[in-house]
Amino acid sequence: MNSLKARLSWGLSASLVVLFALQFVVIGLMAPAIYEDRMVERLEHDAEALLGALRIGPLGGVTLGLRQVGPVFSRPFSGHYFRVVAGPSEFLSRSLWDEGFPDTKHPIQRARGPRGQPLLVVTRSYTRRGVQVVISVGEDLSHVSHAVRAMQVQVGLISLGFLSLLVVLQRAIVGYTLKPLKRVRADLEALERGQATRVTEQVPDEMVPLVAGFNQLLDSLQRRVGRSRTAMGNLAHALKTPLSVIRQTTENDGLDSAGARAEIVGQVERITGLVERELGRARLAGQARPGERVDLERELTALARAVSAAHREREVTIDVRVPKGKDCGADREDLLELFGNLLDNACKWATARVRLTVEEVPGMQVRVEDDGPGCPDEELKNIARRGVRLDEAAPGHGLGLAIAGDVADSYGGTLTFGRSEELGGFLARVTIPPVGETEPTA
Amino acid sequence: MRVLVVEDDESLRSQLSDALSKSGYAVDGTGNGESAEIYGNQFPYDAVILDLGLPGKPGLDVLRAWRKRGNTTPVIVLTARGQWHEKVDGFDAGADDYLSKPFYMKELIARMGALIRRSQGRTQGPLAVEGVELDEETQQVTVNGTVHRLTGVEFRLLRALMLNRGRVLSKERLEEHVYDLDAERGSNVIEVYIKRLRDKVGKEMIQTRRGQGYVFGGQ
Repeated sequence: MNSLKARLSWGLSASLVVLFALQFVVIGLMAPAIYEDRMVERLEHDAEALLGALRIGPLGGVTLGLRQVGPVFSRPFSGHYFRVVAGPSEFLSRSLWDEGFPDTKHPIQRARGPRGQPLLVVTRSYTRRGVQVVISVGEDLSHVSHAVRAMQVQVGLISLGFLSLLVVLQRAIVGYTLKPLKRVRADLEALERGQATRVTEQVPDEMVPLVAGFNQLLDSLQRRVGRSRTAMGNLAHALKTPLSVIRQTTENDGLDSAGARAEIVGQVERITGLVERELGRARLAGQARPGERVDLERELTALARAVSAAHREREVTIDVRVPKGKDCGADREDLLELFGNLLDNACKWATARVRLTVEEVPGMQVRVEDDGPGCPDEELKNIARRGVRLDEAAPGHGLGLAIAGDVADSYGGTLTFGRSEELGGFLARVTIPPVGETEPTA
Repeated sequence: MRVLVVEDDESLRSQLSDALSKSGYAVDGTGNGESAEIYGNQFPYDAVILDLGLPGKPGLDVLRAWRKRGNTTPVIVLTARGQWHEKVDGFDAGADDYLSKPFYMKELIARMGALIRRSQGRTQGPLAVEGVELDEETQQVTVNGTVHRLTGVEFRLLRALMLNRGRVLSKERLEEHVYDLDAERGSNVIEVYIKRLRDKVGKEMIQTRRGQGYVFGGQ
């Protein structure tokens, strides 16, 4: 049963059925007791009436005025019986015919009467003019169970009617409740046909996180596809120039001249740079997957290990300073690409030390600095600009910085350059603003 | 010195093999991850060049398997996967260096040389023992100021001897350093080359230990 509708309908109907069944049973259990209480009252009345019909003469002679007792006691096996014992005399109702009245010990007791009728017997003792009077009145119980059963059937029928009505009502409620799902499904279908770009967020509160997460994923995929497309277009476009230079070179000079070789080598370098840069850009996620957090300390430490292994012969130490427990809502691969390129560049220029510092602020503020020669102020502008246009990027140089700039860019952040105050060399500063409320408050 | 080239692109593999042979290495090549793992476990390579996208078994798995067995042969990962997260994974798996394609052959050979030197506890600079100086780039030997050219086999043999100076090297061990898997091996080829080397660096520099092998360095 994997349909919400079926689950809800079945669950609700089953609980209703259980409820009504319980009610049926409870009535079956309680009704006889109520009936019997009332019967006992009536029997007590009968006993009083019998006592009233009793005449005790001055000499102790006892008579029972039968006319004062109801006719039911006269009809044989009518279901109503009595026995009156007053001193030595005993009176039995005529309805007993010639069978005896059952003996009882308790004031209210069940007993078996004439013709096996189940009886409820009430016994009362009185004293009249010094004479001990014991009156027992019995009544047939079998018609009680008949009455109870009749009532149960009635209640059952009415309950059944209510039940069907409620089930129908519930179906309607369930259908109404699940209506937003239908709308989402329609949206998804529209999405598939390309008629929509996202799913409506006008849904009940419980579904908002689901739909919002889906939309976020959709947005990031769309951005990614867009970036890939742009990158492919740029690449295809930008590759044509070096390719035609190579073609010209092979046509004009032949491949023997040193000039031609140098030209081709230069163009291959350029193509390599283009491929790295543009495909790097196409690969960027530009956004964390919903709920993804990157543990900066762990990842950056591993990265620093890799970078220093790649520059082992330079014997540069990389000092990574990350606040304890700091994490970041960004794609892990993007972050590694960003800081990998910055650390790599720093290691190339450093004399002995490189330092990466993550600031304790919302979002991300990171400094990567080295103790190398640094960069003259007028050059800084050039480096910063190289990131902007591909065609201006000098092949091989600053490519890593340009890629790092692309990553920062895709997160709405910035990459700026300067001189390190403490180490004296090159400084790269990455600033990425916090993403909405998903950033840690610490 | 003997190296293993694991690269599934045949033309790149043969380019690598040619370049490395010219630089004086005995080169074995394979394009399959599984056989690469077996080769690496079986032969005492001085270095391995490892591509990552391999048929049979992924390069990183091969590397991890070697490291798990305690095989510490220096490994350069050579791959088109040049993103930093991939490099992090590569170094974590036990790579000693990482070079992404496209690359310069000169850079690869220089880095491999550095890696091997480091693994042997040497610093940079020419290999020099008791007035015999071996230039690994030009494959020439200078003995007391006189420069001698060396053939490929002579160079490899001399380098192996000089790297292990003072230690006895058996003929089999020398053969491993000089020849790759495909080369034909004659029974007395090593003797012939040893004799030629003695003519160039001086008889007393290479001593014969009967039944054991050869030792470089005069006592």
